[in-house]
Amino acid sequence: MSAPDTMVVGRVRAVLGEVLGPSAAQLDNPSRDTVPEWDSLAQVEILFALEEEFSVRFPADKLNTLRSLETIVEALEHE
Amino acid sequence: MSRHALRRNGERFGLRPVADEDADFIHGLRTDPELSRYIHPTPPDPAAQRAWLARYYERPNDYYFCVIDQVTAEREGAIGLNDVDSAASTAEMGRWILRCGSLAAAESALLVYAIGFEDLALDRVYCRTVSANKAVVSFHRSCGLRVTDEGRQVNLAGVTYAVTEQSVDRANWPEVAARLQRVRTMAVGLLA
Repeated sequence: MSAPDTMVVGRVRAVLGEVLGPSAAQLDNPSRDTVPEWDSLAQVEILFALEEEFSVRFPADKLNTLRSLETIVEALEHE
Repeated sequence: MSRHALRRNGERFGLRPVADEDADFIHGLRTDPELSRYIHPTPPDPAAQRAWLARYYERPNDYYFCVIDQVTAEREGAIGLNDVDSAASTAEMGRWILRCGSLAAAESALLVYAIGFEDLALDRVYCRTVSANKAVVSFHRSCGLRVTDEGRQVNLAGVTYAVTEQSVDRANWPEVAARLQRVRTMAVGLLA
């Protein structure tokens, strides 16, 4: 597996910071399991903010992979 | 006892009329400090919730639902359409409260809007949220609701808050439904 694009990581981190707050975005790999603010309401905001930021539309079978910085970056790199 | 017979089943969650046996569950949610910061204060005595339900059953313009996980049969929360105005063809989506960690937000909203537009034939459903409750205001915005009023205020336990009114109308209901269906798919996937 190739190394993640650091620019993509930075942009995803910025979206997560905007929705979840700066402290969440500073974690190594913020995820639904490690960030209490990442609840079902925030999940919605993250989904649509990512789609706007990256001008993509995640397919239905990818939606449940959006649960951590790492899995989001992986999903975006396969778009 | 129940006041109406409207119900909707979604992919994972469903709505059924609130009944007397839900009173203690709803009271538990509404007195949870984590969940009740931006709602009207609820008396500490659970009997008050049962009395409130008895009065609700008598109101003709009010539809209150329990949100059910159809797989586990557990209750997830409650949601309602209140102040249904037949002349204006509007209602407020309100009394929305879900247990901590619930993934029923999108599907419960989708189902209650479907009841509003398809069963009750409304032209507009609005949500009035304390503006400081940024998570809920952002959720509605992300789902495609439009801000229709920012001039209202509400007093909760002696504190006055600004209120944001966001609406879905018949024209943008298909777009909002499409967005909520995608989010619902995501939530159901996270539960799988």
